[in-house]
Amino acid sequence: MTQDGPTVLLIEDDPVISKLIEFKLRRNNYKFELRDNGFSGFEAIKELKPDLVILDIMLPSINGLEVLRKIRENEDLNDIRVIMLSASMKMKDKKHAFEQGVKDYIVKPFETDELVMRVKKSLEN
Amino acid sequence: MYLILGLEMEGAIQLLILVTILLSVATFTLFNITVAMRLKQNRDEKRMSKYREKLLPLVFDYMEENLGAETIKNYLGSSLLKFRVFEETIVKLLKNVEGEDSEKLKKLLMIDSLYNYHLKQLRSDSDVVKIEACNYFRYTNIVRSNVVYILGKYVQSDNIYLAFSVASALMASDLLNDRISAMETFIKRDGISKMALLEMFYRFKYDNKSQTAEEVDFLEALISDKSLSTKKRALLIRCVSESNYYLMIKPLQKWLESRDEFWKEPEILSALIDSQRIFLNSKAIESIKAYQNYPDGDVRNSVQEAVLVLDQEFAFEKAIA
Repeated sequence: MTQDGPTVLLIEDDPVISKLIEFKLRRNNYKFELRDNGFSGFEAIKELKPDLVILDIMLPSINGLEVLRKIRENEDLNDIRVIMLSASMKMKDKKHAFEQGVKDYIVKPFETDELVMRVKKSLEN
Repeated sequence: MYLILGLEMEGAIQLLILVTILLSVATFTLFNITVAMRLKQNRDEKRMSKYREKLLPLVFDYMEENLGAETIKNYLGSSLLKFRVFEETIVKLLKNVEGEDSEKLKKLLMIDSLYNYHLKQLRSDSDVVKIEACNYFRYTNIVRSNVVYILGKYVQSDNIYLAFSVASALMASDLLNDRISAMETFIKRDGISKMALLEMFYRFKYDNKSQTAEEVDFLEALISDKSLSTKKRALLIRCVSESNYYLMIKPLQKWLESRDEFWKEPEILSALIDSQRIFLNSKAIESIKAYQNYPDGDVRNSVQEAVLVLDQEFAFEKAIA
């Protein structure tokens, strides 16, 4: 099946979760790209300029919050929509992410169909 | 004298040399074992990572209905390492999917080689291995009569972790009697945490979305059992409310309104009042208010919280009537 929808870049180091998200997004016609660490993730953002980034907080090399800060500091990239993934339910972490301009914040474990809905909603706004 | 001293010193030096040699041999052996274990662990991790890479596309192809469960079964063969990777993967996926995809994944866990492997684990001498098997049966909710028979023997195990895993796995049985028997045996043990009890109550329901009159009859009899301690009875009342056995509202209210001293222990009274608050049973508000000046502080606190919640509920019910 060819995907012609918006491009979603997932930056996540867990291969099982990545494959599941890829499966669900491709099924919903999104173009999908994956990077498994913060450094290559940020490089891919600069190169691909995806419509939306799904960004895990706990990442090897550069963590998700640092990647988010770099996106927001870069004039060419700061309008890219970001959905944050995290195992933390702490309000302080959510607040910090929303202050950095994320579109959504999803706590792990999550239901992937819900993630797809949130991706759709984030791309509409 | 010098000769005796010299002989004693020689003996001591020989002993010292012997101890040093023994210690060196032990250290060397330990070092080699550690290195070998580390190498094995590294090799296993690499193999597991390779298996995961191969298994993941197969699982998603199966979910897309591009291949059948038979292909995955053939790939797994009888490799224990592959079983481990496979189970870990499926369990992780199950935490993130619902509905049709979840049902498809659960079916994969029922591959007969995997099922038989866990059945064999149940006969192991090691409690840890048995617990691992119980977790599989608990997760897959497939408890057939041959499994019930084996599990039934372990509910009374001295190892509380094994007893809990077994009882929890037995809650998947279709037969109410199997569940009742496991619940009764497990609950009467000492030292069970509230979390363990809550899990048991959640799993006791045959259908997650509803509950039957037979299940509730058993729970009513269980809580009224005179052999239970006050502490255990109060805990059961809290668990039955927190796990949302709504059919228990009436018996709980009946016990709250009972004149029998049996239900008047402060710990029990407090749990009964809290249960009415949890179920938002505004019909019990007058019975609760009767305890406003009760001598026990915990009971008065429960009354205060319940009145606050139920008064609002009562006003709301009146407004929409």
